[in-house]
Amino acid sequence: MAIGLTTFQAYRLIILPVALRLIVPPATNESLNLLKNSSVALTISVAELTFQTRQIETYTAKAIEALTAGTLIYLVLCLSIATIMARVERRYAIPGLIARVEPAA
Amino acid sequence: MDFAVIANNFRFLIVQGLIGIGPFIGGTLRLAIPAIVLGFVLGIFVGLARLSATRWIRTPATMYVEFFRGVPLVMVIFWIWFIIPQLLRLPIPEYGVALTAFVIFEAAYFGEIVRAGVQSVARGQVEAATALGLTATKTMTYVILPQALRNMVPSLVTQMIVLFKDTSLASIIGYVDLTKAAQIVNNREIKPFEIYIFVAVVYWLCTYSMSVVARRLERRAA
Repeated sequence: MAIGLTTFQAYRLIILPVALRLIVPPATNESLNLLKNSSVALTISVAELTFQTRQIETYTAKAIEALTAGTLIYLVLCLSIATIMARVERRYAIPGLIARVEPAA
Repeated sequence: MDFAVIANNFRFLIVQGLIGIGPFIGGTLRLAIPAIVLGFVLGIFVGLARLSATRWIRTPATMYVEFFRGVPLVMVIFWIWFIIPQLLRLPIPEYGVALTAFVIFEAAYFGEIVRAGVQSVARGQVEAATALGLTATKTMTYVILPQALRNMVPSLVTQMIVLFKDTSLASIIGYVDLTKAAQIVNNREIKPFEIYIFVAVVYWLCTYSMSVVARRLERRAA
């Protein structure tokens, strides 16, 4: 404001670039939760990953194999998203701001 | 809207569904309360194991947490539902399956909360305790944990509320909790609006009273 930016400019140039970087960790967390909670959709018969796992289990009676496959897919999805987002976080960290204060244990 | 259906089935919904007394082994509270207590106790061990200086303890604990935080709860419930009876060659009732699944799943989350709480205690406290000649166990039980628990209260309560709401997932394996009781009543009466509004209000009352108690606890412990 002091350097003559309009409200729109202040948001576009100052507030949003900072805010978007700060929300990366919580946003990642929330999207991982969302990904895992999508499995609840099977209760209303949406044909998602858990539902298909159940289908395979029902047709083939091979519970261990079907569940292992489903679990591994979820794990790979979650861990890769987490890894990618950790990299994004580091790449776009605001210089001079200590992103992660590791408290001494 | 005809809320007489609620009055007619009130006993089944509340006494059987919410509390768990009746012909079925069920009940949201009967599942949620032991799950919260046992999950928290196991979570303390997981959290402390993650902070251990010994790699043989730390690595398995980290893998445990990463695994269960990367897998949906429904998947864990199905694992125990299908696998354990096959391995042990004996049937496990829904209650046992649901309780086991919730405890091992939530212990991972509680473990992370405990870890964050312990890490939030100032390092000087540990150094002071060591200087006073306390052993590691005594430092943990008398110095770190009391302070850490206070710092943990807000996130613990959040997790407990999440766990309470997650118990509705036990209905997918046929456990008669509040959600399943509502489904049973709805299949008979076909009044989904009234029944599910009532169930939502009951869930809300439970979680809201939990957060009110927690707020009071926070003020007193602070």
